[in-house]
Amino acid sequence: MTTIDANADLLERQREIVSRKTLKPLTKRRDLPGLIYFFGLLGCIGLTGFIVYLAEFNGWWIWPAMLLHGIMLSHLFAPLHETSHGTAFKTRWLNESVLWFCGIVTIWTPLYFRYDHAGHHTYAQVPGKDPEFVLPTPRTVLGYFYYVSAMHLWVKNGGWLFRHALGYMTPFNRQFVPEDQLPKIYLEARIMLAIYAGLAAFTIYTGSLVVLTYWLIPTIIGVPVARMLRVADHTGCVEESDLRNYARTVTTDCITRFLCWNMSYHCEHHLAPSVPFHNLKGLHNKVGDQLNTVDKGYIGVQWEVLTRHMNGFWRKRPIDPVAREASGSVVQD
Amino acid sequence: MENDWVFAINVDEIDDEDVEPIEIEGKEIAIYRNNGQFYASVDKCTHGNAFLSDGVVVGDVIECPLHQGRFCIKTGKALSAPVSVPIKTFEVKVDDGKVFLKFGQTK
Ligand code: FES
Repeated sequence: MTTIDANADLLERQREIVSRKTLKPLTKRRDLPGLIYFFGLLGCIGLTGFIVYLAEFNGWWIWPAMLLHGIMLSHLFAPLHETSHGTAFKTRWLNESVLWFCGIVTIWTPLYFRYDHAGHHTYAQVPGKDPEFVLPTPRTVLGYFYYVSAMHLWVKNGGWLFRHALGYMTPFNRQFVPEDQLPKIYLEARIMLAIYAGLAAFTIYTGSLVVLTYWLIPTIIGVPVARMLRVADHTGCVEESDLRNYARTVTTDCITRFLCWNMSYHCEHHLAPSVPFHNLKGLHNKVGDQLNTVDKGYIGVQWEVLTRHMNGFWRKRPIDPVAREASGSVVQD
Repeated sequence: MENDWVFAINVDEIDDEDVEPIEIEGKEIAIYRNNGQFYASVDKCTHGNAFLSDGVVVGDVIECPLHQGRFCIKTGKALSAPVSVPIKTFEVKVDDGKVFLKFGQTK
């Protein structure tokens, strides 16, 4: 299936689930909800940063403090994702500024992510085509920890940064980017590397630990929590382009929903990515009963993934077709 | 038909800051309204063929429903990733509560 066919197919199936008339009012853009969520998250980051500052004088307390701070920092992925869709704010410069800020702090190249993520929306859960396929079948417990520890993330994002800065993109990644846009992608990687080099030079020259204590170490140790949320989005769901069942909507508490900018309504987000995060609950209320909604919370979903959707501990077992069907997963043969 | 003004839609059939699909001679066209002004373009996104009439009008911009690529509704210019190829736009006029477009002639 070509990209064009895949897109047409997606929209056709979207219409079977939700009408244009129902969707229209939900797609309206506003600035206020995004401002509340963004500055709310920055407030949390400021608060945990202050806790790190207090813990600096209390020996080993610095580590749990940095972990908490890192968990907050890693949730900047949520506004990065929403602004990559352009749905966070009605005002465009606000959207693009937040996109860049979050990209730099979370070490995601923002423009390339926009292309890559468009590919994910076209080919979500299609083996060999989805650029953001999280733990495709067959998956192992070790693979799960490799993903959740974020080692996978640093290899991927570091690869994007350095390869693009050197003016090279892998053929797989290239399929999502028009040829004439490559120079912009390479430039953004160079700008980001220059910023990080500046921070490294500052740290070495001044001997200050500020960058390490308030940003880099917390980011590295805190990001696994955000990775676990990503696992819940699709892992173990059907591995084919099925708008109703290839993602998971996870019912969860209001704090988690706030931190992940309502991406717990993941089926709804994939059903209609032009609906801003603040209207996903409204969309869920209208069509949620037709989508794959699970009410076991994020911890319950991790347990489900680890106990029902693994194909071995460290070596991939051959897949039993009966068990595969029972788990709802489809494998690329 | 070429270069003739062709009836497209009644003014009161589109809300402000909105878009409606129409079909003329089997061709899919999107008609936009913003601040009381009307605009028209082909209805297919140049990135992945989604219907722009399912998208969102924000000021002078139409945002594609599928990957949120953005085009200027006045000029058809591609404004942000993942779109980079412009869309064709048509000349439009309003007469007696009706919107007409110059079909066959792009701006
Ligand atoms: S189909 Fe329009 S932006 Fe992708």
